[in-house]
Amino acid sequence: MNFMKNKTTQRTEAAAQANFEGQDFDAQERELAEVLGAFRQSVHAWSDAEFNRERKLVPARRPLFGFRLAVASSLLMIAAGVTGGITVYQHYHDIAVTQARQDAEKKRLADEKARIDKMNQDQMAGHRENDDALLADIDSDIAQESPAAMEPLASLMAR
Amino acid sequence: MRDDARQNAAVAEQEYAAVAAAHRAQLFRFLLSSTRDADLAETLTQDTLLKAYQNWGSFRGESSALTWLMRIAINLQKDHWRNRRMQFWKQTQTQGVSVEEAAEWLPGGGSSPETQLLAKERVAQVWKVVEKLSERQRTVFLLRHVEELELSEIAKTTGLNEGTVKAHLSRAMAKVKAEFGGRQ
Repeated sequence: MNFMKNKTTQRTEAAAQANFEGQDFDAQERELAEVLGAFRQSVHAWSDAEFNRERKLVPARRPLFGFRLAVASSLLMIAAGVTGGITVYQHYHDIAVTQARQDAEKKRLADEKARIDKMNQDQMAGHRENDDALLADIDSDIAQESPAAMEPLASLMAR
Repeated sequence: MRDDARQNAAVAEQEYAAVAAAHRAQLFRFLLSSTRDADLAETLTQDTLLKAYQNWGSFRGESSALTWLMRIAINLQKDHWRNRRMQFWKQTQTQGVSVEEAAEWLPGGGSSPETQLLAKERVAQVWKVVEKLSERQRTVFLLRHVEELELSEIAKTTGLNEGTVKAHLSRAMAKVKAEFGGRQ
């Protein structure tokens, strides 16, 4: 019984809430319609006033000539700067490339010279060794003892 | 034969003149509400009517003349903003008024100063929302709530299907409701 009573009370409250919310919703919709109506009337009034306003013909003036000139000048200066920069860079780049090429050529020549010198030195050393060997051979081939006919002279020299 | 052609041309010109005179004010109003710039609205109205005149022969009357003219106006307006975006360095020759200035316009109607002030505030709030809407939402919103066109007419005017128009309008209305819901 108590449960039934609670349920009835809940239903009544829910109905009252829905009714309240419904009224609230209606009020909001009404207010919105009023707002949109005021907006429409406002636009119509403004449009009517502007539509019937006399307009003076004003000669078209060149908009922001100074600003355009400044922008054009800046762009020209930037272009000139970039072009000049590229030219200068190209110039120094060419010099650097030439210098590097010359340095490489010098180094190559120096290396070549060093190689030839070394080759010459090796050759000389080879020749010297050959000469020494030849002299040694000659020394060994020559008899170290005096011939018998020269023996008296040799003994005199030995004294 | 030549007389017939001349007569037809004269009739077409008369028809065009009547259509232009009948819808010029409405075109101007729509363009004014879209741009909030009276001079620009006037220029675009004239451009619309010139384009309509040049293409009057191709108007087959499948839609109403107003729908056709509005469509031309919307396209010209789009072209205008697109060109302005491309030519960003050009000076703005004409400036649109602020939302507060736009909201100043209210029919008198003998209401009290308090009511007038409240109405101005509300109108300014709607303008603020309209300003933030996307281009399509704004167009649809203004065609519905200022020009009071039916959804089917808006669909023909904008070249969208009716479902898309409904969706845009619903989103725009949700933003208006949110603005006024936040205020309460």
